[in-house]
Amino acid sequence: MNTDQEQGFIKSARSALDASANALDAHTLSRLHSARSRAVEAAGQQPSWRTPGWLLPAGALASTALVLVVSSVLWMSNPLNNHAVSTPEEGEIVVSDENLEIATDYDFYHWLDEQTAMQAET
Amino acid sequence: MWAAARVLSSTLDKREEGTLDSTQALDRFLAGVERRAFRMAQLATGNVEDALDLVQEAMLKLAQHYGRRNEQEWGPLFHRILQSRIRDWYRRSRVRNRWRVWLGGEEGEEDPLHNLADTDAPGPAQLLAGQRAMGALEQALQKLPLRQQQAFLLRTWEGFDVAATAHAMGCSEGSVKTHYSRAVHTLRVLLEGHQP
Repeated sequence: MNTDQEQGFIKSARSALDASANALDAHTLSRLHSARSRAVEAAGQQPSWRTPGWLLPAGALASTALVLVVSSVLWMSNPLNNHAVSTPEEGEIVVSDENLEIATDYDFYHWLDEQTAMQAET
Repeated sequence: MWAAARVLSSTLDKREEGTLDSTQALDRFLAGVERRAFRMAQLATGNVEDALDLVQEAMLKLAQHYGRRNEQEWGPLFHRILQSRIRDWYRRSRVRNRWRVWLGGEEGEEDPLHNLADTDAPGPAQLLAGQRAMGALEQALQKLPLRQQQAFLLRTWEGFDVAATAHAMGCSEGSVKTHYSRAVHTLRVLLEGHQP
């Protein structure tokens, strides 16, 4: 089917469909009318508690302000000096491999400390 | 104080007028689409009662949820709701049919006589000219898979473009093109079968 034939076919189909819609019986039309009336009535009775448009940005603003206040309070009540590492030097000690080895040879250093103490007594 | 009351009263009057205008516009819109919507639902379901229910549900949902939207949006929204309702109906009816078959009933088989070509009938163009044409077209449309039927009716009858049809059907534009092309091809074959 070429394009002209296809257009002719579609035009004929549309005409036939239109004719069938225009030939609906009175009973069906009456029921469609009732359905439409109910829908339009429902549209007119939209709930009065529906959120006004201006309330949405106001609510968003209030939520943001609340988050900022809570964050500030938490920040002020939890100062930096509570942190385990407060200076760059301490940070280096913590992450340094060499110093981690010291922690694993704790027994050796404990023995060394005892030896030093004994030598001092003698 | 009186001036403020007058302003408030005037605002409320204007709001009521706006609601009335909107309600009238909605009524006009629904009156314009209801017949085609009913026929689409009837072609999909093959049943007057189910078709009326589906159209009524679509009208109600449009009015309740989208009645305040711009009038230009009502067409695609209404058809999106309707087509979605038709798809739900279709799924439910398939499940029902499976149960019926499983319980020993018979699946709704088509009358094989419907598929026989009428060798005395004219070609497609003439066939679609009268009441007999609608009968043939209706039978052919009902033989299409639901998605092809929806794509064909929305594109051909509602005059939707590919994008609007995709929105109404809840699928991609590529799918619409495929469904529509297959629908036209199948309808052509089915209706040409009546040619001498």
